Amino acid sequence: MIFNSFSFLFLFFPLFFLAYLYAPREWGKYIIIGGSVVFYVLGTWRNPLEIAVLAGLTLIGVGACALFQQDRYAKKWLLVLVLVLLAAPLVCLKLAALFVKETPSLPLGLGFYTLQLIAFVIYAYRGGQTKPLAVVEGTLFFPKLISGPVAVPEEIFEDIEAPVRKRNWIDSGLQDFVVGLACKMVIADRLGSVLYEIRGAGFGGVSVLLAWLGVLCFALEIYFDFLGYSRMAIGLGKMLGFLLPENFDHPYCATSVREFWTRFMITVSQWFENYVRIPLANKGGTAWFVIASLVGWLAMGIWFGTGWNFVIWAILMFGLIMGEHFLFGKYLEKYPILGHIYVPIVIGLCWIFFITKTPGEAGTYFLRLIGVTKMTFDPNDWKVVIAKVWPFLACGVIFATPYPQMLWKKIHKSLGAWICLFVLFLICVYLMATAGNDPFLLFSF
Amino acid sequence: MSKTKKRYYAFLFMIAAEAIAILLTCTGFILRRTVAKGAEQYETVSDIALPLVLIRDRVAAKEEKEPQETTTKETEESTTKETTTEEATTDETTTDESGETTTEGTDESTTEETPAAIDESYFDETLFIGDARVDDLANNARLGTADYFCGENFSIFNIFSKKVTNDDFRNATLDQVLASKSYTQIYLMVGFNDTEYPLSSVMKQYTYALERIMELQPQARIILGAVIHANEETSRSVEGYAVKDLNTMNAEIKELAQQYDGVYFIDWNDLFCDENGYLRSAVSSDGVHLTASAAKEWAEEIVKQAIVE
Repeated sequence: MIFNSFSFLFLFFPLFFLAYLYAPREWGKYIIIGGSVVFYVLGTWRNPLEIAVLAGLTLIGVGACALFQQDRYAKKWLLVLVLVLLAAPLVCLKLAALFVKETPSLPLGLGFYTLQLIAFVIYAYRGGQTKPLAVVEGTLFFPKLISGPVAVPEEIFEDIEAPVRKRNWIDSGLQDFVVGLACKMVIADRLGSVLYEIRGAGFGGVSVLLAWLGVLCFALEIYFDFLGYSRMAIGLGKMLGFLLPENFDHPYCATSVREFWTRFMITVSQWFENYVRIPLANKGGTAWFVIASLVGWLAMGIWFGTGWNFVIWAILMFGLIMGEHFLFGKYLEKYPILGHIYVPIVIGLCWIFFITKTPGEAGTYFLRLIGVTKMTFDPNDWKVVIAKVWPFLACGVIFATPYPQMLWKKIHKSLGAWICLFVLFLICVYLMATAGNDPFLLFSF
Repeated sequence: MSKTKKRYYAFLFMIAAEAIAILLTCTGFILRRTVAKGAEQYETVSDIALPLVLIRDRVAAKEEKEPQETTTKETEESTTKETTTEEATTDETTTDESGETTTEGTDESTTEETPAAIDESYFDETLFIGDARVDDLANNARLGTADYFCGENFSIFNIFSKKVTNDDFRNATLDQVLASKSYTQIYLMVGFNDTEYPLSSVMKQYTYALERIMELQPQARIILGAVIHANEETSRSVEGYAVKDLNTMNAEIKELAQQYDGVYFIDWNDLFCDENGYLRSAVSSDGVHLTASAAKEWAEEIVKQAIVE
């Protein structure tokens, strides 16, 4: 089940929310677990294997947490064994996709709940307090189950212990949800049509301007798609009294690639920082620092998608960050304007490996950007496209800056703001009915 | 005070949203049994979405009616512009390819190297019959004022039972089309959706279809097009789409063409396929359908290989 579907918006969530609000408080955690199971099963009942993987990994996680809870001096090999077991389905499927042609699709949300369970187990191993039921609830919590953000163990366990049941949290959560829905439906999905057009024409068969327009639109699409989904998750979390961590902080305003990744999918990149890069880099020395970064990026690239394109993308990210660290980072710091030009361009160009499926296609796309082509194309194709998407493109560019949010914070409590949101919500409903449902972009990688 | 106010807004928001959802669902429920009764295209639309989808379609239909004439003119102009501007770039790539094509594909009196002699108006009285690939042609690379009778899943078994609604026809069957207008040439390019049937019955049906067309349009030249292959992944994974199987079918179609006067066979596969016969990734993003630019190349190739007697 996805958030931007009628069955979630008008059937599942209202019923769930009524039950959660009006049932006795101590039932809250059972309602959340039950609701999350229903949420997951409704989306995956055709593939019982996906449900089995989620159930199996959750059980392993709960068992391991309980074990480390009892035995404060558990051996390290035990931890390694548990981590290998938890990561095995994800890693195997991702690696298989690199070397075998036909692989089964990933179970829904596997990437996110694997990260979450590993975070819980390591937390327990390091001496954190966990309860079995809290681990189950923290893993299955439906707002973040299939698409993040990845919660910080301390924080979510605290919320599970005592959700903040306040009226103004419901207000602000509902607003967050609608804003997220609009980011996804009104901006991301509309801009997605540009790439659809380009794919239809073939990557080598578009004009230079359309190729560049495609990069710009995809950069905004991927941001607003992920942002929208995270905002919806955060909003739902707030309505239930949980404060999920922020996942985005206007990444395209960063002045270096390193900074970009502290603002884009913050919880995921933080996870790889905490559990891959820092442990490796702590071994000391520049060599380990470089290795840690490389391993961390390769892991994150493979986590993001399937195929060699994501490996190449990860190596590019690694190269850029190392370049910033050792070579040109100081200039970017000195002249922020340089960074503001550099970040959107290099990040945008690297997204080409997300747009295309194979390195060959990516090559074709790059050649198109500089005007080298073998195929015929319509030199005016970009005009047709821009006439269709310019309002959404303009919105995307404006909302990628922090200013609209600053303004929103001042007015969001007013009646006018609520009316605007309601109109926005109606537009989203119309788009949901008429434009088909594009699932979360990340599912397609 | 302010707290109760806030609570009120969110509460109202949710009630209103739910009320609208219920209203839409009820309206949809009623509309499905009245306005949209029997309409196949709405079968997969849920009740809640139906009123909004109907609104969208009504608006689109209205818009289409008014500025249709001007837009068709515009597209025609732009296509002619394209062909002139692109000639410089495409000539190099396609001439050598068409040279190869002729050795294998065109055995009858086709003219290879006279692109200048024929222009698009040569296709004004032409009918293209075909499956989704021809639809790509109709959508992206129309030739002259040719008519296109085509659509998804069109096969040799269903071309006479399908109805087409597009820029050329309104809810028309092939019989009606063939009876209503006289064509100088007719391209028949189906077969990709027939691979699951035994080849012998496909060819029997092919013969029947060909004779039916000849009967209704005795003056027309008929060109049977080879079935275009699929990409490597699809060829390997879908039974019947293997290059070998499609080539067998194409050989049979070619043989059929040779049995009649005024019937020709053209194989386009060299234009689209790599040396192993798989559809190149550059011409198709999904491995079966053609990209817009590939459709344009195809149209140019059709002009080049036009049959002149």
